[in-house]
Amino acid sequence: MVRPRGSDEVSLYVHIPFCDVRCPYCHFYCFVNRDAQLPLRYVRALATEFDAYLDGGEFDAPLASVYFGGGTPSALPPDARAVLTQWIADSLVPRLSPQGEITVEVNPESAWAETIDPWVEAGVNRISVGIQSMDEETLKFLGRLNTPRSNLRALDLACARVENVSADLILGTPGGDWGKVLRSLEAICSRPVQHLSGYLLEVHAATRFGRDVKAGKWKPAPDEQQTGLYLRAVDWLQERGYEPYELSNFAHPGFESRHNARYWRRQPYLGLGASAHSYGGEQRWSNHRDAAAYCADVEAGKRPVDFRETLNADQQWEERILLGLRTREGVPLDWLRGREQLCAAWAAAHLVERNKGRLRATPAGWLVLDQMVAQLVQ
Amino acid sequence: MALDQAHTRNFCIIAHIDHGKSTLADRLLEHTATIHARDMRAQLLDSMDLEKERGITIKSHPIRMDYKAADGQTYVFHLIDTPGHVDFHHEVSRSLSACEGTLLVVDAAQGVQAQTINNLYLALEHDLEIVPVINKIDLDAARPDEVAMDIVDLIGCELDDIARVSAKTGEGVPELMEHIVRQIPAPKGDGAAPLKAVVFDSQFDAYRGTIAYVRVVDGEVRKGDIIKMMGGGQEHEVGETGFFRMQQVATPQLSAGEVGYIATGAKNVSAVQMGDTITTKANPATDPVLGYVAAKPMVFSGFYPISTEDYEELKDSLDKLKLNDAALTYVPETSAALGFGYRVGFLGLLHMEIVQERLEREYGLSLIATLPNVVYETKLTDGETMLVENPSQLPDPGTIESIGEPFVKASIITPREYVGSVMSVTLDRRGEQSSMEYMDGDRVQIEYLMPLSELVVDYFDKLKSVTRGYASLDYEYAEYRVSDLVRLDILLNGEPVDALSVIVHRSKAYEWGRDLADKLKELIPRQLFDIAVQAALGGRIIARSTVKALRKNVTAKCYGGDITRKRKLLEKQKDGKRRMKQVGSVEIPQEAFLAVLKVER
Repeated sequence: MVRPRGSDEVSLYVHIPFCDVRCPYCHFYCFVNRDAQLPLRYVRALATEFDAYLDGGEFDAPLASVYFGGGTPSALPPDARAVLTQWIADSLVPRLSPQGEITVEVNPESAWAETIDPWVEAGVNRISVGIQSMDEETLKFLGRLNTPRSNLRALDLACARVENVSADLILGTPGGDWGKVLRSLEAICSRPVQHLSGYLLEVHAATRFGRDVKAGKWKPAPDEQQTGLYLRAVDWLQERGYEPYELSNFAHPGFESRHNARYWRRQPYLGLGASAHSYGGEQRWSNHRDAAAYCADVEAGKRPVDFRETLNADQQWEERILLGLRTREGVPLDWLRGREQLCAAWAAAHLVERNKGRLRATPAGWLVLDQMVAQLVQ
Repeated sequence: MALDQAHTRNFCIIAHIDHGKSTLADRLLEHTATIHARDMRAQLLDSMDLEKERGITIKSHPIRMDYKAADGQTYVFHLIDTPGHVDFHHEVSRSLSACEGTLLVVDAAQGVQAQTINNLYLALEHDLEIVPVINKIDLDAARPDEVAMDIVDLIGCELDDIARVSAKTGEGVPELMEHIVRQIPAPKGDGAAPLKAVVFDSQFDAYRGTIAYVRVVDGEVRKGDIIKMMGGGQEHEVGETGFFRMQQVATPQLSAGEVGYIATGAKNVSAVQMGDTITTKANPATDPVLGYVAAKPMVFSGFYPISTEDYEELKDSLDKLKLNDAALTYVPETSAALGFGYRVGFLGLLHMEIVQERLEREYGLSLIATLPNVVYETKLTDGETMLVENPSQLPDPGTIESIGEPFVKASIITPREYVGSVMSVTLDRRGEQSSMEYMDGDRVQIEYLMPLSELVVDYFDKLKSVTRGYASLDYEYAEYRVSDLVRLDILLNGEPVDALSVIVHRSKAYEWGRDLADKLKELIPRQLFDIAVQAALGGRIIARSTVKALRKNVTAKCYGGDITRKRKLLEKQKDGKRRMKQVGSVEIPQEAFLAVLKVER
C-alpha cells in the first residue's frame, strides 16, 4: 500500500451496489438484491474496510470529500441505512476537513424525508439526484422508476435540505430531440439546483441496451444529433451561469464537485465496497465485483482487493493528459512538447484553445476527446 | 562407396495444386519405412507452418528412401518434392533437372488441369520419363477410367503405364512403387569423369554456411575438395557431404547419380546460385549441366514498417529470408507518405503473400505493403529506356515516348458452360484470345495473351468465382508490349500520396479513379477534420470524395474513479493507431494501401 503523496488530504468513494431495478444502460456493478441479510452485512463491511486502512496507518489524513455512489444508496433498506448513517456521523464526519463535502446519490423514487433527513443530520451536505430526464417517454425508454412528478418532488426535497444539489441528465437517447432536452433543463433549473451532470448516452456491450442494439431492436441516435444536443445544452447552461468545468459537469461558480475534481487532478482516494477503485499516487487498485465475496473477505480480516497496478512514468503522463483535458483547466502546454503542430491544427479547427500557457479542449473538442488524446499520447 | 546407379531411381512429383502431391509423398515415406508410423504426420515434407496451413509446398524437399522391390533387390529412391504453384515455376524446373523421371499426379475427380499440362511440358522439356498417377480413386466422384483416357491422349502412354492410387487410404501404393522401378530409368552418370553437380536448391545454416542441394551427374565429391561454381565462379571448400533422410545424414562422398547436399561454408546463399553447376577446381568439367537462368522477379511491392523504428529490423528480416529464398530481391526506397522501406521483387503474388506473412508472423513486423505492380519498360523521348518498378517513379508524361508492360501467355481450362464468363472476365482485363481447344467431352482450354499487371491483382479470384471454382489457370512470361498507360495519383487534402499511385490503362483510368476515391472514403476512418480524397490524372482531378470529420468519440463518464478502465480504452485506441500511417495531417489505415486491390472491375 502506498501512502498518499503530494496531498495532505484523501477522499473516499463508497459504493452501494443495491438497486430497485437494473437500468438497461448501466454497466456499473449493481444489482437488485434478494438476500435480506446482505445489505446490513455489506454496510458493516464498509466500516470494517475503512478501519483496516486506518489501522494500517495508511491514509490517515483528513477527508477532503466522501461520495456515496451506486447502485442506489437511497435504495438501502432501513436497517442498513441506519448503520450507514451512524458510521457517517461517528467515523467520517469527525475526519472531514473544514471545506469537506459529503455527497449521497439518490433516485427520486426512493428519495423521501425519512431517507434523506437522517443523512443530512449526520453530516451529508450534498445530494445528487438521478433525474436523467423530465420527459415521460425518455424515462420509460431508460427503464427508470422515476417520473417527471417524482423528479420535481425529489429535487424540491433535496433543495430544502441542503444548499448543494446536483442533478443527473442523460442526453442523446433515440428520439430525444432538443425540445425534450430543453424541457428537462428548464424544469431542473427552475429549482435552486447548483450543479448538473449531463452525459451522452453510451451503449455498452454488456448491458441490455448493448444487446438490443446488437440485435437491431433500436438504433442509437446519429452522432450529429447527439453532438448537436450536447453543444446546445452547453450553451444554454452557460447562459444561465452553469459553467462547463468538465466535459460532463456544469456548476454555478463555487459549486464544482470537490470529489470529482480529485479524480481528474489525480489526488489520492480510497474506494470502499465491492468494485470500488482506489488511487494512491503511484498505484491503482480495486475490489472484487461481488458483494458477497467482498463481505466474506472483509469479515475474514482480508483485503477485498482483486486488482492492483503500479503506474509507470508513461502511464502517469498519459493519465495526466487524458484526465486534465477533460477539465476546463486543461493541461500545461509543457506537458505536450513535440506535439505543437497537432495542437495548432486543432486550435485552427476550434477543438482546443491555448490560454496562459495551458491547452484546453472546447466543448466541440470534448466531443472528440478520446481521439485527440490517443493522438497526443501516440 | 560409390552409389550403385543401376539400383537408383531419381524422381519428383508434379501435380496441379490440391491433387494430393504431398499426401502421396507421405505414403511413399511410410511404405519404404523411411518414417515410422508413430512419427507420421500429414504433409511431412512441408516443414513451414505456412506450407501446412495453405496445403502448398514452397521449398523443395529432397528425401532418400530404400525400397525392397518385388525382384528381391533393394533400390535407392531419391524423391524431390517440388513446389506446386506457378510462382515457383523456376524451382520446379531446377528440381526436374535433378531427376530421370517424374510422377505426374492427376486427381481422379477433377481430371487434367491447366497446371498438369504445363508441368507435363516442363517435364518433357527435361526429357523425363513420365509415370502417370491417378490419385484419389477412393472418392465417390472419382472417374478414373475417363481420366485415364485423357492421360493416354495427352502423353501417348499405354493404359497399363498408369498407376491408380489413393494416397489417402494407401490403396495402389505398392503397385506404384513397382511402376517407379520399372518405368523410371536408372541414372547413367560417368563416375570417372570430372565432377558435375547441379544445384537445385540451397539452405542457409548458421554453422555450416550455405548447404547446396545437388544432384551429382558425373564424377564424385568429398569433404575437403575445393569446388568451383561454373556459372558464378566462386570457389568453396567442401565441409561435409551427405544425403537426406528426415534429417541430413553425412556420408564420406557423393557420387554420380546421387542426390544429396554439399556444405560449402559460403556465408551467403547468392554465392551458390540455384541452377548453377558445381565442379572441382583441380579437375574441372568443361560444360555446365544447365544453361543457368536466374529467376527474375515479376511483381514488385513497397514494404514499409508501420513504425519507423522497425526499418532496421525489416532489413535484417529480409536478409534472413533471402538466405533461403534466392528469388527474393529488395532495394531501399523512400516514400513521402510511408517513409523508409524496401521495394521488394517477387516471382508472383503468392510469393509476395508468403514473404509478407512470414515477415509478420516469424519476425513480428507490422508492415504496409503497397499495391503490387509489374516492371514498366519506359522509352523516353531522348531515346533512353528506363525500367520503372514503382509507379511513383514514372517520369513526367511529356518526356515519355511509350510505356511497355509485360504480357503473359495464360492458359485456362474450364468446363464448357463457363466459357462465356471466362471470356468476358478476361477481355475485361485486356486479354487477347490466341486459341481455344475442346479437350474431353466437357472441357475447354483457352489461351490468352494478357498483361501481367491485369493478372496479378485479382484475376484468379475472379476466374474462380465466375466458374464456381472449376477453372484452372497457369501462365508464363511472353513478351513486353507497348500499351496506352497512364499514372493515376491519389491526393488526400491536396497532398499526393505516392504510395497510392497506380499505373493503369487509359481506358480504365476514370473508372478506377472514381472507384478508388469511393473505396478510400470507406476505408479512411473519420478524423478530426474533413478529408478530401481526390484522384488525379496528370495533375487533373478526375474524381473526388470526402471523409466527413468525426463528430463524437468520447467517454462521457469516469465513474467512481475507475481510471484504469479509461486508460485501457486508450491503449486499445493507440493500438488501432499503430496500424495507421500518418501522412501529413491524415491518418491512413493499412488497408487503404491495398484498396486499389479491391476496386471492383
